[in-house]
Amino acid sequence: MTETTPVKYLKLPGSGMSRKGTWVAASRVRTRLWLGDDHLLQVESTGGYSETYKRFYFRDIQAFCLRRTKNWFATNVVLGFVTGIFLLWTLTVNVLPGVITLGIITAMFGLFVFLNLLRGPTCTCHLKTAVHYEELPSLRRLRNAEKVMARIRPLMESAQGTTAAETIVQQYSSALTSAQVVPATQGQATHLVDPTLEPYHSNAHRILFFLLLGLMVADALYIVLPSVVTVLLDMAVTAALTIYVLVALVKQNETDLKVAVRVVTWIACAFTAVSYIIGYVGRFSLAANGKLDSGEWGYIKALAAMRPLESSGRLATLLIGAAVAGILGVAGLLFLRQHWREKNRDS
Amino acid sequence: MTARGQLIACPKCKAVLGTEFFNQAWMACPSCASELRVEVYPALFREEVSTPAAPIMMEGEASCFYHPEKKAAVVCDGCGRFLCTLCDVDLDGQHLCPACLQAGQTKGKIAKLQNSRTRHDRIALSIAILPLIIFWLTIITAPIALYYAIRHWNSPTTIVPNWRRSNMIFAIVFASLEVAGWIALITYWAVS
Repeated sequence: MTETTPVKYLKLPGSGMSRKGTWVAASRVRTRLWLGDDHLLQVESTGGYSETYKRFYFRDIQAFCLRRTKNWFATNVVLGFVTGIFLLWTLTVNVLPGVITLGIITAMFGLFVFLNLLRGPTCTCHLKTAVHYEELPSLRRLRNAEKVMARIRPLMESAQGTTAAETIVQQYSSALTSAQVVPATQGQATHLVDPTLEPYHSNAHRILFFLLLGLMVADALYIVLPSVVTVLLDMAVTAALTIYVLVALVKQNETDLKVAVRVVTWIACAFTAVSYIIGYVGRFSLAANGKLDSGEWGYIKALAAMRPLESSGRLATLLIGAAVAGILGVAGLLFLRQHWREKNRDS
Repeated sequence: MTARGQLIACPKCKAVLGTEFFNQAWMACPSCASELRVEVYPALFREEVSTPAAPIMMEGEASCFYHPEKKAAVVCDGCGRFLCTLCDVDLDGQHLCPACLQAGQTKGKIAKLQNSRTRHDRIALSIAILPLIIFWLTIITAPIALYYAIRHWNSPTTIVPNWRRSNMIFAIVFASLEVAGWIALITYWAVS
């Protein structure tokens, strides 16, 4: 057997994170597309130390399906809002170190908005062969996806030839007839099931979103009635929230759960992490000011002794925290209800 | 492929789409209103051609090594065994038997069958650089990085164009500098 000559690959634009692997590793699987002489090569790099390859031969590719997504717009709105909040905060601070710190944070978020604007609208690109129907995570920007499509279209045609539009209509219609399926029209559709995903069966997300609403109530109670009881309630809800964020992240992995619910869960995870960081900063500042007795009970008593209504900074932090928790809770429950409705409709 | 396997569905809601979507401009999915653009290629309707059954061997004819009752059709380019049409695997113009195909994949000789690779260059570079965060660790990791980089200098790595050699060179240079630094430091302590 002679050794086959190595294929010369050309890098195609775009790179993205794949959701494959365990839920912890998911964020670290970087995907990129390369163009070979007769195939597309998808390289999935795990942590940068190992690579797995998938080849999609031009002769086997049956279809590409591009779908515009609203991620670009949503990211711009969220990041723009955060930039605006930090900008306003920067303008209200009178202390120079505070202005510098907040100015840097504002500039950082502003840069993210700018970069996102530059990268252009988002989309998903699915590739279909006789045995695959999978997303190409590196083509999540419309500009990149269109560039790649334009690049490979002539290669596809030279590998497969062309078919007249009438022939496609005729053959697809006979496939629909054989499968006894009617194509989707307004208000009526047959839904195929994605075979790669497990059906989602868990209450973890529902509990998580109710806990977020609970946190909003606990924060509101603490603002109005600061006491040991409300502090303990707030802490208990936060602890339960932390546990359920982790449980929900594990449960949603590799399931058909609606993408919006997943995104809200990840935002809740980030929100919980930020809450802990703010909590630790507050604790250190209390200790630095000599207002903190030793031990956990001392910290609880110090929090109970604080009057949030008398401190604008603390009040703003608590109000923002309660508002974010409430928005996430409501949005999560609405998306979850939408998910179950769609599932019921399909079944 | 079954008729159901030929159907194109919306990636979001999995609603089966009609032909009006094919090779057209952006259109909204009737079920979820997602904007879609679908490009369909002739392979969607291609009938899979199954391998014809290998003919039964007649007296005086060469037989397949794996199926003695079948007539040999080709010779394996790897091991020279006679193969029937069922055992013949055509790969880039080469005719291979299943055993040679498996051996080629295991030994990494057939590039198109490689499904995963380890990035030894990046591992070497990481072993050389990351422990610098906790400086004293480099007394152990620098020789390891040096050994690893030399040991895997020729090991197969990524199949796409990359900075492989540069990473290895950087790893060796960094690790050598760390080793040299430690030798100098230990010598200085010993002398002083």
